[in-house]
Amino acid sequence: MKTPREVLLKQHQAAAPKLDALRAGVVAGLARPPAREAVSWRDFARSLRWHFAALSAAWMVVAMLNMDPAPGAVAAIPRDKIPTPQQLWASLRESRRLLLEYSDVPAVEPVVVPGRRSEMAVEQAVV
Amino acid sequence: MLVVAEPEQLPVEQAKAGEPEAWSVLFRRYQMPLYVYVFELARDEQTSLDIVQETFIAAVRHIGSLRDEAKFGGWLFGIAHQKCSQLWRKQNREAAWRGEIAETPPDLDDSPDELLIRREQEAEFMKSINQLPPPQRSVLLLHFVEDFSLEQIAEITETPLGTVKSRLHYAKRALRKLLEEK
Repeated sequence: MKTPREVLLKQHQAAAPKLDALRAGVVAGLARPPAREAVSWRDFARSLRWHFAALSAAWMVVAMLNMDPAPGAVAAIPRDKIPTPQQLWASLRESRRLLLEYSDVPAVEPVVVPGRRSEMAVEQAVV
Repeated sequence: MLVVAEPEQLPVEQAKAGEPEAWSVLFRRYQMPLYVYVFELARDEQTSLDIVQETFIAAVRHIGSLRDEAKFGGWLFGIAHQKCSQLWRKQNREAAWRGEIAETPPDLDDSPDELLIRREQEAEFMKSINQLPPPQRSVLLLHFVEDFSLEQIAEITETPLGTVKSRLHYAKRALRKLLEEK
C-alpha cells in the first residue's frame, strides 16, 4: 500500500535526470558573475564622440545668442528727456480720457444743483 | 509513541543572500513535487519542464518579496500555479479552469492519510486524477504532493478557503468513486 504522494512521485521518476540538469543550469546562472567587458578610457571617450559633438554645438548656439551687440546700437536717453512724475501722471490721465471716449462710456451726467426755494416759488407763480 | 514531524530546515535565508548552494538545496527539495504538480495540470512534459524552470528563475528574482521564510514551499508552488493558470488562459480554457460545482464548504470527514493505494490500483489512480476537473485536480495534488493545509492551498491558488474545502471534498469523493468503479 502506498500513499498518493508516493504513487505520484514514482510515476514521474523518469523526469528526475532532466530536472537535475534544469536545476544545475539555473544554479550555474546564479554562480556566474555578470559578464563585464573591460572598457578602456579611449573606447569610452570614443563611444561618446557624438554626445560631445552635440554638446559643443549647443554651447556654440548659446554663446552666439548671448553675444553683445555692437556698442552704440542702444541710444542712451538724455537726462533732460526723462519725463517728470507730473508729466507721466498727466499723460496717463489723458490716455484714460481717450480710452473712455473711444469705448463709448456715457459721460458723467452734470450734477443738478437745486435752485433756491425762493426762486422755485417765483417760477411756479409765473406759470 | 507520538511522533511529531519537525519543521524542515531549509536554507531560505542563505538563498535570500544569493548563495547558489542554498538555491541548489531548495530546488533539489522541490523540483520533483513541483514537476508532478505542473505535469498533472499541463499534461505535457516539455511544457512542464519549461514551467518548472521559469518558476525557479522567478523565485530567484523575487525572493525578496517572501516575508515568511517558513512559507517558501507554498510561495514556490504559488508561482508555478500562476504559470499554469497563464497556460490555461492562453489555451482559452478559462471557463473550464474556473468551473465550479458547489461553493458550500462541506464537513471534511476524511483525512489525507486515509487514502492508500494498492499496487494494482496505481495506474487507475493516475487515470482517475486526470479525469478530475482542473480546479479539483489542482487542490487535490497540492494536498497529496506536499500535504499543504487548506489555508496554504487557498493562498497558493488565490481561492477563497470555502471554495478550496468544497473542491477538496468533491475531488476526494470523485476519486474514491472512480477507484471503486474500477
